[in-house]
Amino acid sequence: MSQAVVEALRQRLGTRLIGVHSQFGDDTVVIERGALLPACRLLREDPRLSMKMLMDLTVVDYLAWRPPLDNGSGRTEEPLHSLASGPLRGAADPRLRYRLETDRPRFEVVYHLYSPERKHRLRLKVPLADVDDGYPELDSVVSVWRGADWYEREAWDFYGIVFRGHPDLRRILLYEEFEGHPLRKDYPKERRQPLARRGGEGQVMARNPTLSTPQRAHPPGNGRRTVVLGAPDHRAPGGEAQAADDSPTELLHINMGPSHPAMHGTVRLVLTLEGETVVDADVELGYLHRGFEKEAEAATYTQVFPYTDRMNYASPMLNAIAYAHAVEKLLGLGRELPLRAQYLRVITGELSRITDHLTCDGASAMELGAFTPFLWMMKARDWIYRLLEELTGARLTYSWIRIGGVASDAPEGWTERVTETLPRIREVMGECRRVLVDHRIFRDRMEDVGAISAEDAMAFGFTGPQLRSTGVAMDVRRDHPYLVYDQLEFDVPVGTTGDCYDRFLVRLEEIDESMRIIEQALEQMPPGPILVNDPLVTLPPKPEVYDTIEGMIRHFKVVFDGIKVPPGEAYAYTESANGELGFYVVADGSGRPYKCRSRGPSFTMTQAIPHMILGRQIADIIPIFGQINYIGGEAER
Amino acid sequence: MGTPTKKVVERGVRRVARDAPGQRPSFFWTTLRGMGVTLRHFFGNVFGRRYTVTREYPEVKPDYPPRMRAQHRLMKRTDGTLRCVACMMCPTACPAHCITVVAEETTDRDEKRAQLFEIDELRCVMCGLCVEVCPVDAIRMDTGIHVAPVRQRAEAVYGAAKLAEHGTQSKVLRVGGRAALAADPDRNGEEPRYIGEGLHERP
Repeated sequence: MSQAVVEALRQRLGTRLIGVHSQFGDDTVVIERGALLPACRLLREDPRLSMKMLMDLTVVDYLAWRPPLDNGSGRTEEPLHSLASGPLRGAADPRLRYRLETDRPRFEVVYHLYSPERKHRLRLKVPLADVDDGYPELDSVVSVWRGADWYEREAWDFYGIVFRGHPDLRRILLYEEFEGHPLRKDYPKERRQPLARRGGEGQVMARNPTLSTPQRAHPPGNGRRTVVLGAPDHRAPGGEAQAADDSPTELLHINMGPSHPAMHGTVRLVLTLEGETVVDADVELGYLHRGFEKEAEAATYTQVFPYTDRMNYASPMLNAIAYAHAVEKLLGLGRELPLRAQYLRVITGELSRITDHLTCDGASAMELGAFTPFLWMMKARDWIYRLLEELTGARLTYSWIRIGGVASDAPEGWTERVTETLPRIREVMGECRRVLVDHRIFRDRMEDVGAISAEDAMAFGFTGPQLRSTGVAMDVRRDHPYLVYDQLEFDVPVGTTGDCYDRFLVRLEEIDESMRIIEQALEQMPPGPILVNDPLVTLPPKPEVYDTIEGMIRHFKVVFDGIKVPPGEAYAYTESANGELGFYVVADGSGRPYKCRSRGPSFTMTQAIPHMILGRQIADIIPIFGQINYIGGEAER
Repeated sequence: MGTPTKKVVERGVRRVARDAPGQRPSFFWTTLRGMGVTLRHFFGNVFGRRYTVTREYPEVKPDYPPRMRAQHRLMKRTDGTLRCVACMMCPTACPAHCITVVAEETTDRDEKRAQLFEIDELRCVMCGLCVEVCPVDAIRMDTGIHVAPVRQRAEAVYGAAKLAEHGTQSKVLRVGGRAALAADPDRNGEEPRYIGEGLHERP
């Protein structure tokens, strides 16, 4: 982090800046709770900082464990006094030091910020004390980054943090009747709360209380249009709704989903319609929430992999790569991974990116009536599944990435089969392009639909193809290369208008780019080991286990204790098919993650759907939703 | 290992090609062009099934790759007993907690064996971690058999006998096993065959 960032923050906040430290390259600033809004405004507005994106917002509950203040390794949070010679010389205040060391608060609200322009990142932490009655409170940053809306709702849902000034603070992934805040450390993992329906009749629409009232006015700054509904009643559609042309149409509430073919599994859009036009919309999700974070906290680092495989089920490999990336960052492995493992990860990751884009573009086309190209794309996807199955042993739930490498090497002839498959995929894509790209009906449904400006997209936290379609060339693989992406040549396709058609085209182009990457990687991939040989991280080779007592002991230690990751925290970011997939892992030195947070890219993008569909016709929801590529497993975790 | 020498690579930004705003292609020609592609597929499939990938399941069985993880099996020793020594590695590593092992003492050379070995195949997530952590090659997932559908959940809990149905004799070494292998009467001069790094493949 540049000195300028710290200096600017220090000038604005003074002693309200509690600490600055850097860990594994993640620059962190700890500030007082009262200083949050001025700090965020400064970070966003100051041209030197220009933190236009709130990448992630989460909370850590330090009830069960506190990171050691100073263990000399520089890995954990350093108290302020050790920084007396650093950039904060003037801010070393004995009062603050006392508070940090003895009275460290229970919660820490963690913001991950990013500047697409300057390509720097910052972690902002706000310690927050528990309160005996009620909930700890913090200012909402929705007025700074609109994308904070859902993140704050999620933090309220799971940690019970109240965000003052939030326009609509209600639960998001859990149901309204849920009691407690499950990611707090004092909420037992075993506790079950079956959904008990309260009330009785009239529940069809009214689970969302804000919509059951006759008037719904969004507070300003919410990003949604203020709509005052003139006493709508819930009469059946049809009936008296057929009014004369000059009289206003009766407003109609309609549930789109959760079981709707275009809702990609399970999402509910609660729409208010005036004729065919959407005048209000609310996205309700959580139908596929499986408690990934809570489960991960109870699993060893290796046991998390089967969960990550089930997050973005259109490209499972990329999830596992992202998670392994975070843990390896904590272990300090990073670039120490064997080259062959890095190349194998790149190849399988890019194959997964192709399957994801094929699924998204294919399904989008199908939802607009073009069934044939969908089947062709599924055919191509199946060839890739077959390749991945030969390599990993499963078509979708691979469990193939390991901390420190991959589980198995490519079988004989596999690389040749990949090389043979790519031209066949190109051929299929060429046919799909001929059928779709210029097709007038398809174009009419996609063009100028769901357009979003680059500024809005960044405020909502868009990443990946969805952000690139607006013309912002942000790609983690290019801007912050990981694995061996700095050895590979590829272009970043960007769009112009940010409409659905651009998103569709960007994905098509990215399929081509992924194939380019795979071809180069296959060519460059060296022979060699596929796992690091670290006795504390990886299982020993089987001959050692069978033959030697040392190997056997090492094997037992790694399995029973898990991989003991030294205390620390790391946010690792990768480019998944949908955008930046980040894992924020807090390790407490045991074999299980203390916190394992996943920033699924489609979660924050889905909150822009009301913004994109208001005033448009109901039929436009289909391409918009399809091209946002909402993946339940990734967004709801 | 480590980072290879840097070479200059190009990573440019490319704008996707699209028409100027307001320009739309004609309905007629673009539809005709699309029809051309689909008609080619149609006739290609009518006269020779050139483009179809449909598999006539179940008449034609799919060919699974050798590494495919499927129903578990328990491996046997040369004398036909189970190799499992009830070391509790697989229940520990299982993320779905679907393996139950109860150990009991035994008087033979291994001191311990499984009194009860059960896998709930309905809970299993087919991750293969149990296979990877087994230190004696007692459990494998290389049968290539789908777990059969059941009427009652309890029927999906497979006991040791059922799991050993497909079990064969494994000749990988055990701790201190070189001598044991040399003395193995069934060896027939074969060299010990180690299984692959982590994954089994069907023979």
